[in-house]
Amino acid sequence: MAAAAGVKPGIDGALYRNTGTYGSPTWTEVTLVKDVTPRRQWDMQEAGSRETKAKLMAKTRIDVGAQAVVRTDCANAGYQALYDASNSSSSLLDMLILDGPLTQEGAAGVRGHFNVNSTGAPQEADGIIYETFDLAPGWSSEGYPSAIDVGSGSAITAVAY
Amino acid sequence: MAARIIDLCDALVTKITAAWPGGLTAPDEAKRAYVAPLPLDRATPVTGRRVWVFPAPYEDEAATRGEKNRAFELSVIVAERYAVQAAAESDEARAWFDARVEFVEVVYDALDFGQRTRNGLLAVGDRRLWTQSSRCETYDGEHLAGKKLFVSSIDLTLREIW
Repeated sequence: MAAAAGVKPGIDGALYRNTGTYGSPTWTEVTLVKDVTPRRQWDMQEAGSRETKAKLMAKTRIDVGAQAVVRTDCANAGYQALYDASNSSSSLLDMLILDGPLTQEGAAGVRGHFNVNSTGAPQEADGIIYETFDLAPGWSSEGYPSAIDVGSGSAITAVAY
Repeated sequence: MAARIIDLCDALVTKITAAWPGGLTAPDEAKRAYVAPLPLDRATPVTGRRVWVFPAPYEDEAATRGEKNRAFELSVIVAERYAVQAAAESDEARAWFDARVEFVEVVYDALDFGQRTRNGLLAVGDRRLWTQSSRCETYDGEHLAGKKLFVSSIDLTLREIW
């Protein structure tokens, strides 16, 4: 990850869906996103021995995904793609979850084929409807979830987990 | 292009004028104002029924990563000189007060904007707003009893996403 030092406002994060092919992706931002909480949490198992009194742990598998809060708008293609995927029992979305735009060197995140699951869209009388989508990776013959680094010129480096 | 908050005040004046029972005629008036005319006293030249719409604070919160959810606060004051000669506690005076309270409710209802409420969304320019909250002080007892003025106020919050 190479970039200029400085704070990273959450609002500059970007959630993209691939509207091209896996090999030649066209990354289209889901513009109605409000908040995204990515996760990259490893499962940990004890790996200690009598060699040391320190409890040693080892990483086994990683939970890669995100929770995205999106303003409901049935006329917006990005929202509609998430909505449709959440209604499907099988479709996966090829998505890129970054902490900055693709044009920003140093932006980082994950790419993967994600199951989309709606976990709520409260319809409060005084509120605006936002839908919360949970993104959990699914199996795809095209590729496995990868850690992503954005280099200069929007070049993407992907390292599969 | 005027400030958005000014455009909203003018839009409310238009709505109030349209809702005015029997139509607005001089010396009655509805207009946008900056300087709160309160407290009013006996010498304040209030003729007819006056409705003033005031801009108040507005603020943003994030709606999405590319949009703001902006809340505009606005205030409406209705004032009319108490023209009844009878004592304030008389039936005649009460009927006069009743008519003003009824007018204020007409104004209050006219400013209720929403997708599914009676007035629909408030279109101002190319954006539309809804009433998030509103509150009416039905009348000001101090002005009514001490200054011979019927004064009522409505505070409301309009929201838009843009």
